[in-house]
Amino acid sequence: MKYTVIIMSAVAAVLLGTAWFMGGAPLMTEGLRSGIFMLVPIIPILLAAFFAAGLITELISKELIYRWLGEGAGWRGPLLGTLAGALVPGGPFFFYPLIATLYASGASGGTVFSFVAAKTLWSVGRVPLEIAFVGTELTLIRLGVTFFLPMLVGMLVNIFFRRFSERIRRDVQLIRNRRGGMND
Amino acid sequence: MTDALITILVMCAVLLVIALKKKDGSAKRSSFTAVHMLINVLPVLLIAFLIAGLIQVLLPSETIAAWLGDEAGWKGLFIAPLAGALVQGGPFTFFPLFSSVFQQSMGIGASVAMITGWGMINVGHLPYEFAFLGPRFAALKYGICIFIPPLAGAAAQLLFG
Repeated sequence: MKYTVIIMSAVAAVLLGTAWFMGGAPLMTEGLRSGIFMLVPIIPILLAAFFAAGLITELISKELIYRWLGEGAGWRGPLLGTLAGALVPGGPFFFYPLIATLYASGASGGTVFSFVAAKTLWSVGRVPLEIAFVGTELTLIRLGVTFFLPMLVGMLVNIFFRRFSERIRRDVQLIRNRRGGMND
Repeated sequence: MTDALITILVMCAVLLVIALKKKDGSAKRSSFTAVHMLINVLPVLLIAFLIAGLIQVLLPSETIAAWLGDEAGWKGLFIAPLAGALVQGGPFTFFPLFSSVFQQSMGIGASVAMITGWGMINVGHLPYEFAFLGPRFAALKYGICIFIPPLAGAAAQLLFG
């Protein structure tokens, strides 16, 4: 998070500089003002979105995900992977280690890829925020047209990339061994 | 704006009922989680709005419309996800930026393609993918996922455009 703040501050500084260069103080103030005008009306929605995200985080636990997706998922892997990926909250620093653990503990390539696809495509914890900014209609359209895609991705991997997926599993195990199994 | 607030409040109500039914204090804990998340993310959020405001002033909407709007045609379905894939800082940066700078000048197809591209093929995920799963995973993931944003955008445009 700290890293993100630093990078973003740098971007903001560059943009402020550009505004200064292109239009002096008036353009800079205009940029600041338009930022504030965007933020203020969205505050109530934002607070509600955070509350929803907090509830989702609390209701879906890591243990629940492991129980669903472990070794025994079988042919239902892509379906369960999709469900879990859509539901599990948290950013990339959280879910990539999670799926590495899943991979290492025997989940199929299809399960893992469906999980990643659903997570990056939908991520329920993010939906309140998407609705808040983008609107209900566009969010629903986007969720609708992509509905079958994560499952399809997993099935594709299970059918056409089975051997490649086993090599990925070996990669993951190597990476984990190198770190002395400290990823959990 | 109102429909978004109503949707989210309904979501909150349903989730809250589920949490209260569990009777394990998860309803109370989730308020703490929410406050904690909000505090954590507040600096990012404020800078994100500053960036969105500045970009709105600096990047004329005609330029965006020419590259990503309806007049850009199919080209927009390919450019939009690539532009989205470059935006860093998580949903708190992307969504304000998208709604304030891009949404008005873009069609449904390009919008869906951009949001999908931001999520699925975001370059900011690469370090994590390499670090935890290795280069083969990243190659297969991007090899498959790169097709999804334009496809999703095209489907949205054809069905709802």
